[in-house]
Amino acid sequence: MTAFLISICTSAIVYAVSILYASIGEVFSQRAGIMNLGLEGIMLMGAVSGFLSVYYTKHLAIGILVVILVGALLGLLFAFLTVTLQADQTVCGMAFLIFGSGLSGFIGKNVTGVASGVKFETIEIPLLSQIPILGDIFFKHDLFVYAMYLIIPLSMFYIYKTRPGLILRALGENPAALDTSGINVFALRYAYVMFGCAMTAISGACISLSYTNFWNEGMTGGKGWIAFSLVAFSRWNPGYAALGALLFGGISIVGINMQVYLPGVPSQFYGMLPYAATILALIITTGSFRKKHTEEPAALCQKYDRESR
Amino acid sequence: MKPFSIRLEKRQTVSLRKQILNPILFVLLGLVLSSIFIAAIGISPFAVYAKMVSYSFLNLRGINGSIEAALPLILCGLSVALAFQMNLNNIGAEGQYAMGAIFGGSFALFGPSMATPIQMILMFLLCAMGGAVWALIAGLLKAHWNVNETIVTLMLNYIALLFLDYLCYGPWMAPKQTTAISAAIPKNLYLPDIAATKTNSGILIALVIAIALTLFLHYTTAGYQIHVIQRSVKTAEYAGINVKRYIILVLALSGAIAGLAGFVQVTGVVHRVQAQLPGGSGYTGIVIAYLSRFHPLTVILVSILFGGLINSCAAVQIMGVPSQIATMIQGCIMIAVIAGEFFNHYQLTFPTKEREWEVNE
Amino acid sequence: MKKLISVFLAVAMVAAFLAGCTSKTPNANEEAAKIDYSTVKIGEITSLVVNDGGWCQATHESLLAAMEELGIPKENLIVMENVAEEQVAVKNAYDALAGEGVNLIIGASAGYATFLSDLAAENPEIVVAQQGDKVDNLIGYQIRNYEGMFLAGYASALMSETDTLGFAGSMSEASVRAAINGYALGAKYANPNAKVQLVWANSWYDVDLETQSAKTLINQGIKYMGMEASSPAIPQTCEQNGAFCIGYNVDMQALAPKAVLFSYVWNFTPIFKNIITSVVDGTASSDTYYYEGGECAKISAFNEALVPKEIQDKVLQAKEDIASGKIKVFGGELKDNKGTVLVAQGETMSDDQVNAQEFLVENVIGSWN
Repeated sequence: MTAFLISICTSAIVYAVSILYASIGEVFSQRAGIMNLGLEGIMLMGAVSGFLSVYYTKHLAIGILVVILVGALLGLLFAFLTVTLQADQTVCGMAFLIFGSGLSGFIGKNVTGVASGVKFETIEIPLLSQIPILGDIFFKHDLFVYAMYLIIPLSMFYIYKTRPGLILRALGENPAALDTSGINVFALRYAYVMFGCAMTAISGACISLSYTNFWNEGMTGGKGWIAFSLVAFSRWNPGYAALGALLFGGISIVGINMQVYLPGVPSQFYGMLPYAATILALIITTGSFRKKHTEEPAALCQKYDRESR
Repeated sequence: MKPFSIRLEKRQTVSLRKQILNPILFVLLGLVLSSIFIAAIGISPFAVYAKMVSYSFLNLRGINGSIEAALPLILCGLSVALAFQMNLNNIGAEGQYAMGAIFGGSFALFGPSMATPIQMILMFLLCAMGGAVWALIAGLLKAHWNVNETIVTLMLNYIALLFLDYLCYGPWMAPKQTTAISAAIPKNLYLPDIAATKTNSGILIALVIAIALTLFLHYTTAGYQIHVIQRSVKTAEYAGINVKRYIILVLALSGAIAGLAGFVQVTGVVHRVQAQLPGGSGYTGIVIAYLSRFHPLTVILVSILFGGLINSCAAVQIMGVPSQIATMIQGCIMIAVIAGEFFNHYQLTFPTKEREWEVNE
Repeated sequence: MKKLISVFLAVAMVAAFLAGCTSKTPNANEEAAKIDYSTVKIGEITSLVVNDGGWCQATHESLLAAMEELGIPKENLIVMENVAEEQVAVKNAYDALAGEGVNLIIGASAGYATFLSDLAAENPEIVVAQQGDKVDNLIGYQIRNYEGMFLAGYASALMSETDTLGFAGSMSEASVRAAINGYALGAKYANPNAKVQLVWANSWYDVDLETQSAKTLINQGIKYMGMEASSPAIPQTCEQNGAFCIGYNVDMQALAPKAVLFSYVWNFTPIFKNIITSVVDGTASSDTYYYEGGECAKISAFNEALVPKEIQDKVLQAKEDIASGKIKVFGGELKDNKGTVLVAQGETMSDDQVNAQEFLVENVIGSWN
């Protein structure tokens, strides 16, 4: 039984991490006032570019660098459209979704279904991994997971405790006020959108460089959408996003296990569980009956135009 | 005057000519953008585009094919366009379409046989109802508890598609069938083709809905009030408009239209209920709604262009172009058109040439 | 089809006539019978890309091999990739291929059957071969995958120290159930107490769900599993957790060398050769149905590092026994996992029932509908 619980927990962590990079990136981007619906497309671009570079160079570090670069470049384009050209963010996101999934399939066509030979391997942390149960759950993972252990507290610290974090929150709440106080709203938004997209691309790389070591068209299988949903669900807080991701991953894993423990129910219904749970959790955490401040950045999705200030 | 030689100026109004020319110009730019990728794999982009156009639009077979491929896109596009009139992001057209097909399909497959017209009408209403019910969940949550409709509709997509999967792989699967597809619906429920051209008559249904939608939005009190709400919820509330009721109404209507995609597809094209039915139309619908600037009639035109683009991808594969080309071109065009939108509202002016006060039409 | 036959007849007659007029060679008939295959043009419709590392790749490679053996140049094959299993997409791909003048279209996914059947009826000049059940107007072809999967289950049970094996399935479709049942029956052949725990991913391709399916099985203490899934996620999950599996579709050993014992491989080459030959010599008939086992339900070479020699020998022996009819995979007495007797002692299941596979055999834990 403990072995079983350990396994469910480790699986949930691995799953959660693969969407958390995107989610946390999107938290920053949305906090800055820019919503990117096209995470899935950027994840796919991250997955394919990471895989391609590792496939040809056999160096994981180069792979990650390329992934970050590709993500940041896509972010630059996204920021250009949404910040400079003030395009509608929902539609821009859809465009990126389609563009990313099409282009990733297009450039990855020749390396589909072959193994790259290298991937991020599990590293057992000395001492810590010896702790009974907890060691097995938390300290037998690969670098993506360990990095995430740092990113979650650091990003929360950044958002809530530092001055740049304060500015970031203001960026999504009241950009005009920031602008008058002499802060360059446009440059900051560019930076955060690029950061968000780079993180999203890393999420994709998790799948092609850590989960597995191959590439296939559309292999992110909807994770970008889940990552996007987590952002509002977590009330723009990386810590809650982590909890949400664990919950979603945990439920979908338990769902598959239920096929073994509670057979007789059509397995598709178990497949629906995580989605239904997300709706439920969304209602509970953001429903206005809570009579609490929603924390949704007030300027999210609003065009910001200096002239009409 | 600043020392810049070029500056941006906000246009006050945008002429109709500009409104039409601008997207066309930027679609062309999008094609130039995607031609870079096509050229990169060593194939002439001109040859590819020429083949696409000639395959999908320069003959009756091609046009009919484009229209047929466009049917679900039109209805999903209209659905999204309607929701957007109130700034509601309905990205759930996919799931509403699936639910429409499920409601209508259950009647077509297992319902009692009646006079054909009654059966047709019932089927039509049921498909609309299926989509409406599914969107209503999001509508009620949004109206009463302000729960983010984008995410709820998205999650409902997954649930609806899994339910459709369950039906098509399970109780509805046709006997002696190895794939997730139901038996054929009764022949009298087949939508007839337009005799003269063999065009799928689903296009007429789509056209009627688009016209009805245009009339509804522009010539009814409800349409006007929706417009007020889009401008500003606060103003609307101040004017005594029941915004909640409109959120529910508009999302339900939007869902109903997406559900009708299930109707045209099941009665007009596939004649069966199938697990793969929606196949991403709901998401493409969002793109189409935007590219058409949310004008119902333009949605039809853009959808047919998209249908042709999707169809022609088969023809260009013969030239050695990867099958993902259609998706990639769609993405490039979208990005270009989105960028182009900016220049509808802004204008580059060259003060040095003393033309800065040129009338902005 | 008729037109094609008549064209060939006409050509043959003219050839015979000319031969008769000029040189009076006695072997004119022989010459006419010796047909140049290189003129046949083939279209292939697949649901993903042809190098997907799974099903589409297996079909495509088989087709290329068949063409090579018949001396048909590669250029004669036109592939339509990423064709969704829905009416508009299939019709469109068909039209594009027809426009290129192909003689034969191969629909490489069972999902195309209903649509291709209608199209083939409208245009009998193009022969359409379709994977899956027999459907009107189409040459049907399918492989008795349960024969290969029987060997997979047999090998797994021989290797396993425990009685419980696992199986990670994709979607509950007849050919998938055939794979599961074949695997379970093979396991039972090795060990009468063997049970097979089944888990569905409910997706044809989903890296996450497949990974989780494999994990779920491993959590049950299962070390050996079979799979019917397209991505290498299951073998790779096994590899990370010290479990083993039998690859599916194509040989997956390279993707997870420490976990894949061997793979079940679809080998359509013999079937495609027959179909192409029949198209060229004009004997193709849409009533034909190929339901082949033996070399078509192939297993790859063994992973020498993992499978001991004596087990290899036993598996190869079982393979021969299936071929010779000594082992009847769906032979009686056979019960399903609800206790119903499917086949009485001494009898064999009819091909219709085998094809539909609306059951899971006795030692499978799980449900199919």
